[in-house]
Amino acid sequence: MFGSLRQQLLAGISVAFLLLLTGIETIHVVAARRIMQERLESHAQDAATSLGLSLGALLAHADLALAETVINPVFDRGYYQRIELISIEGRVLLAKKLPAIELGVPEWFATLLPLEAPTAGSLVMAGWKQVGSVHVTSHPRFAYRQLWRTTWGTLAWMAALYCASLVAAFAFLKSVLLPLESIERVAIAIGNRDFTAAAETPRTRELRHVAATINSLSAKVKQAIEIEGARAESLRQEAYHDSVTGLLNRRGFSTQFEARMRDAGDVYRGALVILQFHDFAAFNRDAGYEQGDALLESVAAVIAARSEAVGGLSAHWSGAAFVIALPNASGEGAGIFADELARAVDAALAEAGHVASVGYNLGVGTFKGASPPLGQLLAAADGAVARAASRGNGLVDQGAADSAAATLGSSAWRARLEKALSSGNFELYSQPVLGLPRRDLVQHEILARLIDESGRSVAAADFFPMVVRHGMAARLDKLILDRVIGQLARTPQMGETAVNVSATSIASGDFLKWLKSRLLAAPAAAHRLVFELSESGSALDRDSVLRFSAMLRQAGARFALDNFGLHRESLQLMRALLPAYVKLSRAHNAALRADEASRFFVASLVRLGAPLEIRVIAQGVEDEEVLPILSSAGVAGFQGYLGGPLSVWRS
Amino acid sequence: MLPTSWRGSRRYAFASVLLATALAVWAGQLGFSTSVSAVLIDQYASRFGQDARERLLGWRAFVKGHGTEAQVARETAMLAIVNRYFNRARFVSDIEHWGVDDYWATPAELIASDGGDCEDYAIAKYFALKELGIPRARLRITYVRSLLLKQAHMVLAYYPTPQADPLILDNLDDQIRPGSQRLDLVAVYSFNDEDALIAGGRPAFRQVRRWRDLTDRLEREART
Repeated sequence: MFGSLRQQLLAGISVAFLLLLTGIETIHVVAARRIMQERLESHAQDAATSLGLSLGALLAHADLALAETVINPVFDRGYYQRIELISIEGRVLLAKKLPAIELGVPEWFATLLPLEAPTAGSLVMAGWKQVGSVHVTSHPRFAYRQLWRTTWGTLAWMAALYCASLVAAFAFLKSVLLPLESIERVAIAIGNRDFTAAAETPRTRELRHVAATINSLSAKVKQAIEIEGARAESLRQEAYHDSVTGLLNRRGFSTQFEARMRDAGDVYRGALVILQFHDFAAFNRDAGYEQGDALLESVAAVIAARSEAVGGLSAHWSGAAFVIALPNASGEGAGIFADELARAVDAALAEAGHVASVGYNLGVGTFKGASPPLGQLLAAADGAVARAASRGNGLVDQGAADSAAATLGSSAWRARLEKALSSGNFELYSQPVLGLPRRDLVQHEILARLIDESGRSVAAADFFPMVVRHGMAARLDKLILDRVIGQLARTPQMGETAVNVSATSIASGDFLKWLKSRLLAAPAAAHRLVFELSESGSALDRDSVLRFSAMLRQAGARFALDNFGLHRESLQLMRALLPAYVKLSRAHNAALRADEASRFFVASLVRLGAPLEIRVIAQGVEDEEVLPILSSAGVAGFQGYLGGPLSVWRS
Repeated sequence: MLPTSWRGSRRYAFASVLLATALAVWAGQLGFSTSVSAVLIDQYASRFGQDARERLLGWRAFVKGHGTEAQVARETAMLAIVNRYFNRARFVSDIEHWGVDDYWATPAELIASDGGDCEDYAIAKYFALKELGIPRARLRITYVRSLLLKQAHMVLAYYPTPQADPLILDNLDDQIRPGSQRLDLVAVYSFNDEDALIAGGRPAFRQVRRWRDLTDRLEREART
């Protein structure tokens, strides 16, 4: 009923003041009534005594006419209801009586505070003779009026006092409880997993202790998060980077390649460049390992700089081989890149004085359409390296590894998508997410597939890059989300449900507005929905993600990151965006089985997530072996073929 | 068995009834010689001298002696005896005797101190006659003006019937005479504690401050 502490205190104080002032008012009015009553009595007695003294001689002479003229001026003043003159024998000689007149106050008032009309008498003596008596009855009219005025006068004062004390109490409570509001703000921030705010230090002792404790606890949690974050970062570095050159190692490159080239969804062509030194073992033997490492380091620096300049992904693949992935590079562009790289590497070798003692070959593998698996692309590039080596002239060679999608031209894709969007030719599939270690159902993830002209369903990985390329992501998301929300609303027995949304869609204000109104219209569905964004997409525009998650919070829904753990800034992203959970990229699964470093990394990720209330879920789990590893690292759940395959989602 | 609080309130109610009865008895006998206790006699003896003891006991014996024989038929004779008895006290002005301008002494104070002025005599006689059984409606303490002394004076008037010419008990005159023969006195105003009835149940003489003081002191004496 009452909101804040201040309102409750104010209500209590106002009731207490009201009772107090009502009590004072009552005491005052009752006392005033008693005084009025006594005054009426003495007033009657005074009149009786003075009339008794002055009437004696007149009654002795039986001069009633004169007696009446003595009584009249007293009576006519209006203070008396009745004046009677009675002979000593008991005969009424003279009676003056006021006609019934109004009291001048409301009846309820006279009933509440009754005033008696007192009668006083006095003997009338003529010399020593008792000749009669005079009886005077006061009229309470004036006393009532006086009492009425007194009552209202004091009531007005009390009301004024009441208002003044309420204003004073309000001001006082406001100043005393102000720090409480600051503490409340911090408490809410902590509730929202934000440990950065600190409460002001209040003057009130109890509040000061509360504020100090909250601040110190919050600081400790914050510190623990910092430490865990730093540890996870260093473990990630160790697991996915080469210790000599600092570039990604083979494992790191594989995961990053999956994320950048295959999962990001915006790649429609590209190339992979391999730089391979030949006979590096001989160089190591002749010049020493120290020289060998120094050479690799300087070459790695050149490769990293070149690759970064064009948005590529570089790695130290093995002892003397480097790879560079170039998303969306044409065959021609990749050739130019390789030539420039060769010149830069030559320059670096020349500077170190090794031009004559070591040789290398460059090969380029290219693809059109969605990216083929890394192995396939590597094979194409490796073939090119081999051809270059066999020619022995150090020239760059190219090999193609085009995917199936590339067989359809870009404009044909556009037409196909346009048709599917306008006719709604998509089908919804669901996949269960199971909890660990109990394998209970915790979530369904909804995935969309395109139905092509011949009625076959096409996986998102195959058509989504084209959707992005043709700027249709928001339209597709609207279509799918509208269908998901509608179907979820009709399926009340379904629990938490995850659905994907693209990073380009959420950057659009129109889309946010549409989604918000759609969610507010279906609150029961909104509360079960979690919107998944890819990590790589989120990393590009954090502000949009924050706006998106704020909107979802208002609408009762949540958001999460999937394909997580591949990006350079994974951990910062997780701490900044505070998703409900993160879904580890499937690329980690192989590494988890193979080595301890990535297990440490995942365990550290779980520990970092705990205070921030971020669950970690594994994706693409296909064999039993990896489950105990996930369990012991503290992963909350998993999905993939092992948890249950995709099935058509029907309400 | 009743709850304690209820038993307590019953005990309280019982005590109240006792107290009220006692007060009623006192009120009826205020100013009577019988309401003078041994303790009060001791007090007044130490205050006014050992003679006071004798005088107070004498007063009691006087009233007792006449009370048995006094009957309505002998009222007039009794007035003379009472008048003479109290007139024996010395006349002393209030300022001299009590150190204040005007002081209405109780009968016991008058007797014990063996001194008083006009209203003290009138009051003592009023209470003595009441104690001897004369209806108070016949007794009125009266403010008068003494034409001889040219000053305010107070006497006790006795009215055998309401319309009658009263008999005047005056400390300046051991003779009891009718008011019509007292040409030296002009009656101004009279009262007794019966005026209470006229005022509709509330004692009107409560309004006379000196009478109120007197009543307070009488109650205190009765409690001693």
